[in-house]
Amino acid sequence: MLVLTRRVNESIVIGDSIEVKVLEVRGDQVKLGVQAPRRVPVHRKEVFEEIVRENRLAAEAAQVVSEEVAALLLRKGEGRTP
Amino acid sequence: MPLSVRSTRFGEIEVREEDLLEFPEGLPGFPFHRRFFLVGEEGQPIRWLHSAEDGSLALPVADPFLILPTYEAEVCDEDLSPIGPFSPEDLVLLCVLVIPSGDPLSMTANLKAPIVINVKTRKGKQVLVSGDYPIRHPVFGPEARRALAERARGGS
Repeated sequence: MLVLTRRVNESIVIGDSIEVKVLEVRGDQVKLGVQAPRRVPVHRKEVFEEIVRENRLAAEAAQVVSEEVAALLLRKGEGRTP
Repeated sequence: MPLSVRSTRFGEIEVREEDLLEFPEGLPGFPFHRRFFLVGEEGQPIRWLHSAEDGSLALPVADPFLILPTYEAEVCDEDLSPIGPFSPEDLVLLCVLVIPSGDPLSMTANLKAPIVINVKTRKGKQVLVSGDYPIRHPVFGPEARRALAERARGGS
């Protein structure tokens, strides 16, 4: 990992199209501005990791979901169940 | 020739080549699984996105509009480039369900990251939508849960 020290309002540039700027530092929080082309997805690492976790949890389910639950889900889609 | 998959949940399944779905980037958490198919009839509220390579890997999925009729998925076009050219009517959205064992009524749906399938190219990808949708949206509200619990008591 490359480690750089930056002050507020200074940035780093990644490649020729991505800029990450330090906007504010307050205590242990750092506010970053990211400028990147739309084709480059920028996510908080936690969000991606959460999706990984949810997918893995989802894959643990057994196939048995009672007819009743399935029916309830269908009715919900028809707006009949809260 | 149909592909034969030995599913731990559904037994032996024959999958026709034209029913396979390709996920060029895999799925988050399962990056090396590229070929899937859907188990369950269209119209069934819960279907399974099943790996064609691993008989034990399947994720329950549902139509997000069943879960939240006001759902709006706004996705960056470029995020969808791996699934090939499409017009809006070629896209099918599915959200991944987490169904806790023994407590299906506490199931949650991932509305933040739906799976988008291009039915024309049969390619899919799980993407992030903009907007404030939760990764763990409770599928059933407390009233629905109560009603079902009561019905279960009355029925047994």
